[in-house]
Amino acid sequence: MSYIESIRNFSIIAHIDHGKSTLADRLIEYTGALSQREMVAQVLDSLDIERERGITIKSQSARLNYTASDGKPYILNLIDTPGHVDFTYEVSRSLAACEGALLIIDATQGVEAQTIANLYLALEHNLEIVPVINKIDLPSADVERVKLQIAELGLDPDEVVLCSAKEGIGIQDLLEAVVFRVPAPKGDLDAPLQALIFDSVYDTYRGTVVYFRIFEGSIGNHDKIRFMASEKNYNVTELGVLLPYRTPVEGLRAGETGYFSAEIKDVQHARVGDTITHSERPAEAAWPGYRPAIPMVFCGLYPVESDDYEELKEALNKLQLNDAALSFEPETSNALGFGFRCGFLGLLHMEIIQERLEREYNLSLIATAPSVIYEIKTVTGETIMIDNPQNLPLPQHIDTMKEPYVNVTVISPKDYVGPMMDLAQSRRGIFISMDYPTPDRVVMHYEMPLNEMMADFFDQLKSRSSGYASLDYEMIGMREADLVKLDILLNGEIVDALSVIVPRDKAPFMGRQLTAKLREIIPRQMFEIPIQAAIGSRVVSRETVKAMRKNVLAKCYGGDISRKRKLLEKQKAGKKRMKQVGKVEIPQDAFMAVLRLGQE
Amino acid sequence: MKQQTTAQGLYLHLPFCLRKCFYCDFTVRVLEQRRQISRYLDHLELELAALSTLPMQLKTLYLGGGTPSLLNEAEMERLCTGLRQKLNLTHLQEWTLEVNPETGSQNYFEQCKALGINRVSLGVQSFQPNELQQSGRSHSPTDILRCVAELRAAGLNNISLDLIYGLPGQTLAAWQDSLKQALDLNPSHLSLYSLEVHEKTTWGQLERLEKLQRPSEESEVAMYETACQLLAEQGFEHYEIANWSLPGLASQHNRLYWQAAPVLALGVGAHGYWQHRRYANSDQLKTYYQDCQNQHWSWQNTAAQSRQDTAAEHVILGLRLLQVGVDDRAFAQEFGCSLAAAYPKELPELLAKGLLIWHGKRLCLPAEAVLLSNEVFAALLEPQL
Repeated sequence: MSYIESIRNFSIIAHIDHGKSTLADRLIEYTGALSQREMVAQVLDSLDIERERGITIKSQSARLNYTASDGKPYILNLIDTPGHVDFTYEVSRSLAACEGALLIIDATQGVEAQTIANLYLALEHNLEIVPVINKIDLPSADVERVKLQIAELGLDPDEVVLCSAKEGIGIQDLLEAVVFRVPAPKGDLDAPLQALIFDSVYDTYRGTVVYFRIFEGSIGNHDKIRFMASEKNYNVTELGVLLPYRTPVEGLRAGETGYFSAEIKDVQHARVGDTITHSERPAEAAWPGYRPAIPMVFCGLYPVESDDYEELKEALNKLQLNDAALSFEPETSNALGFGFRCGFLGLLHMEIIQERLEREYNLSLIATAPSVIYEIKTVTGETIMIDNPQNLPLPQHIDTMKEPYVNVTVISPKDYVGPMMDLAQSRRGIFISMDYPTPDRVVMHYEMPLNEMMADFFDQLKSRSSGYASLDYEMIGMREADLVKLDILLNGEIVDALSVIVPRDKAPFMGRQLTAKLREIIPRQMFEIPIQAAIGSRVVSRETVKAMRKNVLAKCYGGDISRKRKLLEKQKAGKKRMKQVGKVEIPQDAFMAVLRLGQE
Repeated sequence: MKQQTTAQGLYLHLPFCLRKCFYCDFTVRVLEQRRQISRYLDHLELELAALSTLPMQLKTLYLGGGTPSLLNEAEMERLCTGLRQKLNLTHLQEWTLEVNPETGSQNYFEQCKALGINRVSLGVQSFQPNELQQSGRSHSPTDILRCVAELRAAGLNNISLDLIYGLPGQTLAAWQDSLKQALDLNPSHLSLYSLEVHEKTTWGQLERLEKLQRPSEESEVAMYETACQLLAEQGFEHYEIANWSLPGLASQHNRLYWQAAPVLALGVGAHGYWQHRRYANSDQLKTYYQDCQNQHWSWQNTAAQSRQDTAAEHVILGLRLLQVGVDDRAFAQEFGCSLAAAYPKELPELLAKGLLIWHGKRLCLPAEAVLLSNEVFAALLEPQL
């Protein structure tokens, strides 16, 4: 057996929470890549936030040594994939690096929207699919029903592997399936180098560390390489494999996966999806499929204390080193001062970045409500793109406006079809089709403005279906829409950061809801605060926050000054989370109020 | 730095009460057996012996609680004699005893006077029978009248009355009536507290269940404003956020707190301030007793506060004395910079909002800002020195 015949490159794909990370842990543990002692639950999810939320954001991979039932040693390269729709592109690059994929389906939940989306993605890359039913140990597991669903997807139900990652059941069967069903890679050792970057991470000491899969040729330590899209050249300073800890090697060949560092200071030079080749003997063409990450969701991030601006900039720079999909540029707001307009792949991506800025960099931030990007044709025939409602031209200068649409797939038990359709319709969804892959399961397709997904669409979907419905979406392009800017005035002054772009016919209604919500959120201050919503100069609704009259601590408690002080410190801490705009102190929540209008 | 080594006041805590009031969040134990008191006094004496070695020139002594007047004559004599023996009281000007209206007698108060007590703070809280009952108080309005009469008969004429406004179910009219009845008793001093509901109290629990009907903020403000007006008419000076007195009869002991002067503390859960240490004894009797037996003293085991904290307290406490305020020169002398320099951002803002005001070189809290004083103080917690 030649070296290449002993290699298997595979991914694990699944709907969120179907047990992908636990299964990865189990494979690593079973093959002895890490001893039990070294195993931390879900080793592959390395960020704190990932572990807390139980989702994988940055993918990592591991090389597993396994001796199969034929007595031969194999090298199984597990390529972990990010587990959320925001990272579809990253998932697709990971899949491109594989020959096969384990499709994990929860025995209690069955096929979900992301199961299907990921399956299609894997099929696009011609991967060998190994369907796996996980969590078979649970009392509510219904293996036969899930097998039926698998058959509906066009996969062979008799080829399914049954396992319980949690209990360690069926792990060997899975490894055998990887060896005997996933094809070995092919590749010409002597061809010019062609390697695909499927992930990169930033390391303080090594710069950007690139994770790659070699399709053609070979690479050696200290080779001079070139990134074909960015056209940057570097000398490899460390080459290695992931066991799953980085372990240096002298060379890697076609079919193998590994990592290298090359003192790459700018993550933009080595982006996921780019092709690595040799500077001296470049490949004729890059591996297909590269595209730069396109941010779809934008929001303004402002430091609560304007003195923290430089720190925020520094923190964003550092995060970007590890996250090429994050974009940002300076912007100013009358209300919030100096900050940044940041672009994200999606809503989850946005939340994660905000959380990391606050946790890891200890910054107190005000985030404005997320916005999509709008395409505006002006009356002078110019086309401009805006990602911030503040920059919307005056109505008389706008000829037409377009907003991004997504294709939404909702999978739900048939009992919840009504509520699901109501929800989609209330969010300007356009019904496309409905299928019944199994008698009790419905797949609905809608086209919907991305903007409508910003708010609580996902939460609503879950709550209206008792948690059973699942969701996936993909971009389908820009479409014309009749939109207006809704301004909010506090104390008679427009707070630009609270402006939102909304459909014209919904604007007065949303104005009323928004002012009512803000009245709840804005704490009473020492004077009365009128809250108004306006379209242009027309006020569509008004509420008032009454003045605070009393905040006093009288009792002395036998000289217990510390007690008074603690209380004052608590009050002060509360204020720190607020942004002073004019005379009014506005809590962070106010800027997100627009997202929570649908909740009542 | 101020005279921080010589203590000027001493607070002594006596935690026992007949029952616990529904709003009470203080270190209080229900008295079940008489020997609880003698046991407590045993330990107080241990602490007193150790504490008496500290440098002090006491101007004020304060016996607070709890209900200190629950001590019987023998116990009171034991306590006060102990204090006289261990402490140098030659400079003492004010010795206050907290009294609850259901306790004491003319004889008892005569003895107190003979022991050196010259001021009484009477926990009246209200003159309305229903309010007293619903607050879990152990006394009736009649008890108040009896008690004051006996105090006066015993020659204790420097009397302060405590009242609470914002009680559940309290009306403005009822409050006005309580105030008038209080004034009819000719007190020299009044403390008017706005009700604070704390989580771990009976009322705190009720509030959590949304079963506590408190007056609206507007009515509480009206109660406060009525009180200001009524007391001013009667010649009372509003000298501190919650305290009014006839001229010259402000509480000297509490003033020491607002001036951040060193005040020592004795007893369970007691809080003292000495050499820039804000120390607190354990509020658990068991732990307090162990500490006394092991000679483990909180004033020795507490770190001094930072200069920034000291400065913040100097300002926040000083502002509570409405006429006195904080003297800019005194602040500069002690902390090396002016108030304007210590609060470059905060001071102009608060002045512009009318929440602070300059009287010459003294920064003061104007009358209109008293009810919003927490807003002011919270903004002044972090001076830049």
